[in-house]
Amino acid sequence: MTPKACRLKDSRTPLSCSRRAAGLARAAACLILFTTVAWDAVGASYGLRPQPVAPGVYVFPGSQDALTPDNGANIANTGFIVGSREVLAVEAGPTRRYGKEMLAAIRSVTDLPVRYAVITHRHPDHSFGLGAFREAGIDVLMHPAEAEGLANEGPALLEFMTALVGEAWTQGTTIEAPSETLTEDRHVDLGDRPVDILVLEGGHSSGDLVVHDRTSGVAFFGDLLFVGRAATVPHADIGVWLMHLDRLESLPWTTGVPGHGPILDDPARFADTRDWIRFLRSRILEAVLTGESPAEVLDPGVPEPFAGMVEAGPTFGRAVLQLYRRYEAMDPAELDALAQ
Amino acid sequence: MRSTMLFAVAALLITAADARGVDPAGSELWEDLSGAYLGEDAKVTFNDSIRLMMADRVESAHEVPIMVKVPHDLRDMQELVLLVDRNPIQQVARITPHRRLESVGMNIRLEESTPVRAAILDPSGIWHVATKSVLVMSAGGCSSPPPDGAVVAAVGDVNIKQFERHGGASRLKVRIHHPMDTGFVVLEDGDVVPPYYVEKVRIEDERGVIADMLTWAAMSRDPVITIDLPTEGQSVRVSGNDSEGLSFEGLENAPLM
Ligand SMILES: [Zn+2]
Repeated sequence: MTPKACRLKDSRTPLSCSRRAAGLARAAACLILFTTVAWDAVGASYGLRPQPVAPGVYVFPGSQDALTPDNGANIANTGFIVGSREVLAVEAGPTRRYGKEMLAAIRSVTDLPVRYAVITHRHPDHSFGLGAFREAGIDVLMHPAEAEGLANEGPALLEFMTALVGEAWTQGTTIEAPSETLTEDRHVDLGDRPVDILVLEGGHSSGDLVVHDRTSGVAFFGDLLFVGRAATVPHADIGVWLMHLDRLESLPWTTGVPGHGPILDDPARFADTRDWIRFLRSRILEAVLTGESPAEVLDPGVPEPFAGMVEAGPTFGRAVLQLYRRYEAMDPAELDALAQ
Repeated sequence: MRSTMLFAVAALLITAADARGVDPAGSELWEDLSGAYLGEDAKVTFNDSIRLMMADRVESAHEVPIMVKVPHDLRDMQELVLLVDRNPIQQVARITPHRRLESVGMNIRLEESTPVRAAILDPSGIWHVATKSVLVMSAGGCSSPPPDGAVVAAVGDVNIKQFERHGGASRLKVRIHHPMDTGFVVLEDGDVVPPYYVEKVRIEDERGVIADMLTWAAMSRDPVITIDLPTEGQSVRVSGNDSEGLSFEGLENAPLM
């Protein structure tokens, strides 16, 4: 790969998208030429099968893996809740193709109409399929700050993702807006099925939505909870995130669906997220306060007990740079507050 | 006939390898790179005792932190040169220390996957080279527009911090606000951003000059230079100039953090 080959000018990249993401996309566009040329476009299918986790509640488990041409970016857990009158979908998956397959898979379980789709946050693995839901006339709900982030960062991230997983999967995917935004908790009734949509701002993202089905006690936690996988922190405020986790732990849930990882029946594995983000905060804070270079923090690799988590290495690499930059820009009072 | 030629070529390669060491990264660029920046007749040995710390997988290619830990027996080095094989700007910095340094760090640009080199010249005239091969996931650290970031302070603003280390040693951390434009970035409208970068940096304290540096735009925007001294920190002065002749200066009299 030569630098020249990477200096493609792409007129399709809207000016509104961040330059950084455009750079990433350009680079990734180069990558794909060399890595995924041979991918067979015809056979791409997610093979979604609804897995029942409680009466009327189903999950489509995502792969515990990096984004690869094998999984088509299907790495996040999605699902749906069936009432006596209508259905609520949680997440839209990573591509329009996924969204369509998800709707078809829901139809294999129930003929009731899908009324809502709740997108927990802007990240591609959860949100990029939402066009399929809009197209079907379904109310798509998101936090407004996340909708804005999706609009701004989406186009470049879509190029980046396409480069990683292949166009066979992302073909037809466009960045679409939700039909409705919410900044306060919302209660909906799917027909004898009261469901709470909780808004938790400023923790993992600007506005994460959590879906809690009161009838079954199933809660979809979105990316406020990663189990067995290293949580990502590009937009995170770790202190707020920890408070949100306390709140989620205290909800009356009996079955917990994390954004990534296996389904839980008790909160013990909240530690997977809690310990990891606490570790990131304290390690990087220490580095900033003692003048350590990020290179020195990264040098020994991911320490135990976190090294075995899925995507631990790449996530650590990213998190150290992201948090280091943020903490370094803080004044001593802010750093003190962080250290408490 | 053909076999004779092959033999001659092989003999040449072997001779060259002897003079410049056998590159552990196996880069076909090493011959030219070492010839250009360490000297055509340079004596080179690859030395594992120099630790070149950096991520081996890089996603943010505009700003890659690196740290070179200089082993005890090379702390009387004459020069330290940082090189990147596959960058359009291969030479990052040349540092001439005027006293013993324990480590040197900075943040650099990587255009694509590449070996990175820290070459240390010992007093007997031998170059000791550490190599690290880095996988760059999103290429273009030199040729794509930099990520949006905090608004750069006035060009040439210098920020100095000192940190205590164990045993009375100290660390100096110098940030120079500067765009460090490479000259390889083409904007949406087709304009090329002309090169504009810090060329020279001098770091000194009450006892005299600590190090002189020549630098190029393969250092990141707002470069951060880290230097570990075996002694306690004192009042530090950093001065230098950029490629447009702007000179800058920063002083730090504050006590240790
Ligand atoms: Zn996710």
